[in-house]
Amino acid sequence: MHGYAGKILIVDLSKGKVVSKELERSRAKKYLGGVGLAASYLWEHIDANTDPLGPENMLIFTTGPVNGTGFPPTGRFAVCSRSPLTNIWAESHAGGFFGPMLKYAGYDMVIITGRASTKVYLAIDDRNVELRKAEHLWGKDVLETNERINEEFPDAEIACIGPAGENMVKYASIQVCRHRALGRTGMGAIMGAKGLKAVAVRGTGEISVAHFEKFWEFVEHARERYTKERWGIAAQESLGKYGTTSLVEAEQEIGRLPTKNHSTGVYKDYDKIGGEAIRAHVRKKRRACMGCAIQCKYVAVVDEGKYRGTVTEGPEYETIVAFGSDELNADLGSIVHANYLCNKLGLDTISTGKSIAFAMELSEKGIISEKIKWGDADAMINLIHDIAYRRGLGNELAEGVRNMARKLGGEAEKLAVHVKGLEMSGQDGRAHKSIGLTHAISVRGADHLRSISCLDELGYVDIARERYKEDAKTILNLRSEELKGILVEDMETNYAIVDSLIICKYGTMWPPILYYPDYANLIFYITGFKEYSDVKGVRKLGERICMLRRAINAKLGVTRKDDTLPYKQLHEPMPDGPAAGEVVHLDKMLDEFYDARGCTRDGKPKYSKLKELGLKDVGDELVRRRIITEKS
Amino acid sequence: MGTRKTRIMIKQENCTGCKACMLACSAWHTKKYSLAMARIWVNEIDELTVVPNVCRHCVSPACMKACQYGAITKEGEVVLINPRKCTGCRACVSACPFGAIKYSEKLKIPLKCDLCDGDPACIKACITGAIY
Repeated sequence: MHGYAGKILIVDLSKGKVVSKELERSRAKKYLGGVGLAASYLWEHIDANTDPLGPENMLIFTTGPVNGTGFPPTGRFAVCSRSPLTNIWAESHAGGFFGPMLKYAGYDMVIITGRASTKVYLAIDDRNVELRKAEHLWGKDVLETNERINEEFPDAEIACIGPAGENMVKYASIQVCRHRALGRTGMGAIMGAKGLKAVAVRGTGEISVAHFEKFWEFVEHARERYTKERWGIAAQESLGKYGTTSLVEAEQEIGRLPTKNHSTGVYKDYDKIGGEAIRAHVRKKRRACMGCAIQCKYVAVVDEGKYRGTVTEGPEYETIVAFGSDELNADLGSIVHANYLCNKLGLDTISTGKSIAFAMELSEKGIISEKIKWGDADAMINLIHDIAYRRGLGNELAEGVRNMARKLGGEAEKLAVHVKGLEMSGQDGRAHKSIGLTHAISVRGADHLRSISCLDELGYVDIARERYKEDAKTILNLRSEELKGILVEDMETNYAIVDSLIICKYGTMWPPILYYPDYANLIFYITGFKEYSDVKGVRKLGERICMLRRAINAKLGVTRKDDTLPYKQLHEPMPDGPAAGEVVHLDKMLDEFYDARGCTRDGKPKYSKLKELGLKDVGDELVRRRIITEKS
Repeated sequence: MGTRKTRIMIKQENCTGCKACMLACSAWHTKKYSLAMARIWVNEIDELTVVPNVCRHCVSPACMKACQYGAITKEGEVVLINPRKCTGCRACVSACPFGAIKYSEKLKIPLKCDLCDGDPACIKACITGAIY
């Protein structure tokens, strides 16, 4: 099968058994790859009784047809499961080199169930696959684990957990290529619970494509579009030069830079932690994921102060917000060091930083007795260790802000900034209405990457006109709730394809260079699937994947009441900055989104829509479980 | 296209380690994408140091002298391997002082840069000017 390695690995850790199976062609065709393919397995395997940290939960490493080919960016992969942090659908993505390497070894996916009786790691050396002892690695941090495994298994790409994953911190990450994180939704905690320290892979095989000459040309053209033409130059001048760090300045300008535990959208010291400051003080080297033509990654080195000598990839925008503005911390060295520590201990920087900001606000309001002052970088660094090793207050914070707020009750619940249990990424719907809707409806919780629109955020006027014609003006209005349901439905469909191919959000989201016609070409040239050779076909594919993920969540009990926002964004007007006075009026946007997506007004997939998308069996199962009716 | 390349130059500090060169190399030669079939390599020393490595097309090639079967020749300034004459003895791999020849167990040939008939695919794939 062109574009695929052709096999999947089924690992049962309880039995210590690894089996290789053919990838079913019909399934690949229906769900393409990446999160689509993973969702098709999780739909069959998990329900409300699946304990996310129990042996029965399924952890899926997944790639798509693009990965391992020459398309710039080719290096991505994802891990999907039921999240221990949110208890719903989980997907977490990373770049680097691991995904392609897995395919070169011959596998499109690795599906892991069970729990190992003694700690193990999975070693995949082309077709030689074995579970190796990992007792000697348990307790080791990510950097040391990489070193040790590479001594035993040279040239392997490694996805591993650190102490945070072993201790089942609810938002523990899986780290790849040392500094890249599958951060969100606690996938590292699942590996920890399963007694699986790492997956290491070395592959010498190859990936073929269906229409090589056309694909080669498409790749050459894509490289031009990513580096030269109008948006390519824009990408190089922003992402190429600053990574995502220049967003700090951009968000300050529109009043959407989360500050003081998402209380406001402007930060007076933004320039001390923004893109220009990073470039002047810590940025030392540009790096990249496999085959990429945008190359947003960079290496930071702290040259002075307390954290002198710290070397890490990043920090990116989200991490700068999480350890900077959101904690009123303008000490750049400590932000870089916090990033380094999270990578080393295996923690999601967003959830970690936001949990600490939550603790700072609880402390200020006297809800907890610990004294943690805003902007206290030392306290922040100490708490990162305490979270990873579950000590004292860190042990409470390791459960995530929703769990901690529930325990404290009352006022604390109003201060916990999350949706569906996932700590919120660095945006604020009060200043950018479409991101408010995105956070509310995202299938994995308060996350931007499933459907954020940069068209209104960064002002891509021409592209908005091209895509939405006469509606463009309304769509581009940051502070209006009008038509945002339509916009977000389109973005979610778009990114569901992106996350199944799997390509990067840079070049598809920011700048929005690729769109459905490009995906149609890309999928057809690589796989030869005729179904997806036109816009109608790929759009239907995107809708199918979106709907299947929503169906999984519906099965797990998610309804409209969960598609909501933190108290602050619904009830407390933005106190200052360009968006002062704004709150998010969610209901109208939700109705519009559900109608466009094909959901009931209660947020559940409609039977008729599921049928139209080729998911009748999914609809029947939801009817059988009395979640929806056949009449919907 | 202009002049044919007779050598690939490396500007190491520009290399970001993306390996686009390796994928382009593999695809140009085999129509398939694989790191193991590339004839150029990118080695990561640490976070700040990535080093591309490729055949220098030496003036006086050690590999050519080491080959007892006449499989390695110089065509003008370009050092080429004739796979039909190669016996797979790997003397060239040992002889190259730069480690710029690797033997492929799968293809049963030594992998070495042949400059893609004068228009190297790796150069076109490199967006940072590390290979030129």
